[in-house]
Amino acid sequence: MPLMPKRVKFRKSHRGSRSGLSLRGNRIHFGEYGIQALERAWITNTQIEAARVAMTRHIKRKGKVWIRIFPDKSITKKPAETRMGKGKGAPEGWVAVIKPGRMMIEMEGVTEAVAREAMRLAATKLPIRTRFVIRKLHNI
Amino acid sequence: MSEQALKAQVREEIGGSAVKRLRKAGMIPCVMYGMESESVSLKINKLDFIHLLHSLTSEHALIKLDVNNKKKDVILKSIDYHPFKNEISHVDFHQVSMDKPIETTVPVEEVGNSKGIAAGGVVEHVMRELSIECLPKDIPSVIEVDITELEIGDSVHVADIVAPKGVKLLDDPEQVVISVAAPRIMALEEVSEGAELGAVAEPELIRKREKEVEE
Repeated sequence: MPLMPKRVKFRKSHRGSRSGLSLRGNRIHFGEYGIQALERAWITNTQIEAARVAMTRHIKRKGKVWIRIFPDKSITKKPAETRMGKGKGAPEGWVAVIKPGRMMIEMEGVTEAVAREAMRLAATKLPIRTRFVIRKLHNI
Repeated sequence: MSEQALKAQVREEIGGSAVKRLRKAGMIPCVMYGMESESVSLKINKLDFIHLLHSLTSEHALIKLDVNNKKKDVILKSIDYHPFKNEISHVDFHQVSMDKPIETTVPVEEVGNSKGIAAGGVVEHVMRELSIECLPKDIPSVIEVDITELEIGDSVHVADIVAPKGVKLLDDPEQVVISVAAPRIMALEEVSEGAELGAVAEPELIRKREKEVEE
């Protein structure tokens, strides 16, 4: 089953705004290491899933992983060779709205070298620039 | 706990654009408040503060703040960071009285190598900080938790932790702080196969269900 909400109030949503920064959810909260978004994007459920699989394969399914983003926004698409108008297209997929600063994935229970490589592999599956972050007393 | 000193000046610059100019000039806007004092807007030198941060062993350490040649005992209440740049945007100092106990949090540090980890277990940090009550001079930099005897499935509760002298733990004694769990094999193929199908399954509509219930 792909990542998507179980129940929704409306099938289709407006595109909304992607402006601003991720003012919340921008620090490591659960694990020791994390991937932080440096750009803004709509990240699809398949991209999130691909990142998770790449990461868990590398850590040999040890450790613990937290995925802190969820694709709760439906996106629609008009069929090919259709004239404009006639209403909004059909739901085509699900995305998570990501703003710069968002801590997307966290990890614990593996060494730093393993976490760094796993997260590098995961980051290659994502459409934005990211950075590897380590939990510290102060972020300076 | 060692005491650190920091110089601060009273801040006249109030408001977004004035504070932005201040940050560009290498200063950090901050505020100092406490039970027995009015809130005061201050500014501190960015580099001095970063040097101080690196020398601190605890997030809520006791600091001697020199405000216009008057020494104040403060603790670091909170630091606001930019969402992704490593920049400090604001600092809160909490003025404390040295003879009155205060409530704060201190990080938990595990000590020793657990038997459970040697057997393939994974340490789970359920609580990374503990709430404590003590006099400002007694704030420990960390609370050490010995995990040497932990086997797979064992855990350390708040009640098991021996607090340093003069420190009272405020968390629920039944709460788990650190546990050693058996390594969990995460489902890998199961979910990925479903995702590769690519078919957009539509979720249930909340409104539709409510209507059905009404009927």
